[in-house]
Amino acid sequence: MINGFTIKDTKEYSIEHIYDSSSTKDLIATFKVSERNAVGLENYLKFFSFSDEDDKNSRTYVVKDKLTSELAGYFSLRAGLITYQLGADYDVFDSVPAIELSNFAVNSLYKEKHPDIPKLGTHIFYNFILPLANQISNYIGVNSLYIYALPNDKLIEYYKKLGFSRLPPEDESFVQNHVKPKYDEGCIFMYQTL
Amino acid sequence: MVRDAEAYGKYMEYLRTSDTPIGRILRTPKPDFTEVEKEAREFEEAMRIEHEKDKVIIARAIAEAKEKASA
Repeated sequence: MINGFTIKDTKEYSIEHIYDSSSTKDLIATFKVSERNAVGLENYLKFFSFSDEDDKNSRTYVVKDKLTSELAGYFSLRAGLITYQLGADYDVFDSVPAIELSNFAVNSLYKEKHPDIPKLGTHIFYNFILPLANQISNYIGVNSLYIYALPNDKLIEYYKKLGFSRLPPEDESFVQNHVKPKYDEGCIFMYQTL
Repeated sequence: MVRDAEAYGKYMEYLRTSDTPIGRILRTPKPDFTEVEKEAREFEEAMRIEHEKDKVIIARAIAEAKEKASA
């Protein structure tokens, strides 16, 4: 027998799939990001996350404050591959099985209500994203978790703190030029092994 | 499907030790989450305290609403 798995709520926050609750759609309509260059993350959640669910292109999860039911943050995961050419032979490629953290944002309206308490993103990453990715890796071969991080120095440093690494510049530029989708243009490839 | 397991094993060994991006990724150690875990725990505790304050505010608002309704 192979048992299913559970990602537990924490004491103060719950995690749900976006289709789990009928009230989530209304909450999503109020979601805001603080940085202008991150507005794509806000628009994705509002306008594209549900259609991606229907196509099984991506799974989006919302994190809610258990006391107030406010939307604290969200993230999306999708199956992915880290693909590279091997050596100088341009015809030979191989890949590492991985999970893409395709979206990850905290709700700036929620953050504004709790200005003295930072690290909400760290909490979401450590308690929800990482356990989910690790659980998935117990069921299918997954070596790494990766992101295309928005090109913001502060954000890159933050992801490094969360355990993500950058590749050497020449490897990174290969991803930027060959693998990364157009809508992630300018974003920085970062990964961590699971 | 792996048609030749021996060849597969040799290839994976080459990949793991190779000076290629994939080799570098495969050799990357798992991150140390000691600091992340500490921060996540501190955040949860800070939110617990914040929620205690919120509960008082919510209880007060409910009591006031009830008082108004009964007046």
